[in-house]
Amino acid sequence: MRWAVIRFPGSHCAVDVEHAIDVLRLGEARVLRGDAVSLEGADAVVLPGGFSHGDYLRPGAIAARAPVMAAVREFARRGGPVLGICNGFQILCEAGMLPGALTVNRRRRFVCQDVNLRVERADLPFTRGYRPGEVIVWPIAHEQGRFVAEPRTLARIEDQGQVVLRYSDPGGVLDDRFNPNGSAGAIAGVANDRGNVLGVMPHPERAVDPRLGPTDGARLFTALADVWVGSER
Amino acid sequence: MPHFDVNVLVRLREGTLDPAAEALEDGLSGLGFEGVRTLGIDRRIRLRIEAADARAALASADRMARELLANPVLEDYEISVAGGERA
Repeated sequence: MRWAVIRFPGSHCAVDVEHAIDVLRLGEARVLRGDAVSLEGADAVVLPGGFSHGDYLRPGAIAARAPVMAAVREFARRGGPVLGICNGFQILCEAGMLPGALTVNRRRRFVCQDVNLRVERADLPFTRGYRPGEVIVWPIAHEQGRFVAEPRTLARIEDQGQVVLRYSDPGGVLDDRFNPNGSAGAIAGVANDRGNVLGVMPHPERAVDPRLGPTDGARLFTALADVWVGSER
Repeated sequence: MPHFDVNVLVRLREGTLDPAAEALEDGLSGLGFEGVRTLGIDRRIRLRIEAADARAALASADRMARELLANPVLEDYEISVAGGERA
């Protein structure tokens, strides 16, 4: 399986995604730059975290308009899986490929910790390795991760089941004290209406290696690989 | 081609939680300033645009604001030629 990892100037988490794919033995990760015009036959696309283009103007704003995004958009239009992590999620929102926006955390602090996430959708290519309602642990590291959207957009994504992950307590109960950034609806991950584009603020690629901490992120990557193997048969 | 200096003022939409404004209020209050509210910490982007006339420069700045400079989910914007006409 071929993974395209898109690196913009300042996307420092591309190496973490490469590490995850390597540790999990899920194929080949190829790092492409923002000025690439082709995804070189990729089977899945990952927009990693970081501070693309210095996060100047707004996080992800400049990267969202980079040349490679035309290819990413076309890949998604054909149904290919696109995963945006942290800054990658911000890029997908700025590109209009996901609804809403991500802005300064409620308490304006950079938050860096493991969080509990309740899986709201376990039927997407990204989440088939989880059980509905399961609580998993991934780390977050961001200052601008508060998900916001206009009330009618929020209502639509809730109605259509586009909320994939929410911040919760360890038992899966929504509790404001466990919402680390003040996101609307405690939303930590959102998909597009077709379910093939997913943005998540927490970092699944940093939760794959038992030497480094929690490993609940691994199942996201293995699920994507399983779906790909199924489609190749 | 003449050029025109255009100001694009970007600010958070009314009702959007603004943690930076709240922090500023805390700072002012710490200095003993009371009875003051922060209405916004805006961003002013100054552009020099080559265009046939001021109207064309404003139209071009408006497209730039819609396509990149402001995020409509979070922000409003206002455009004016520096020292003059408003759009």
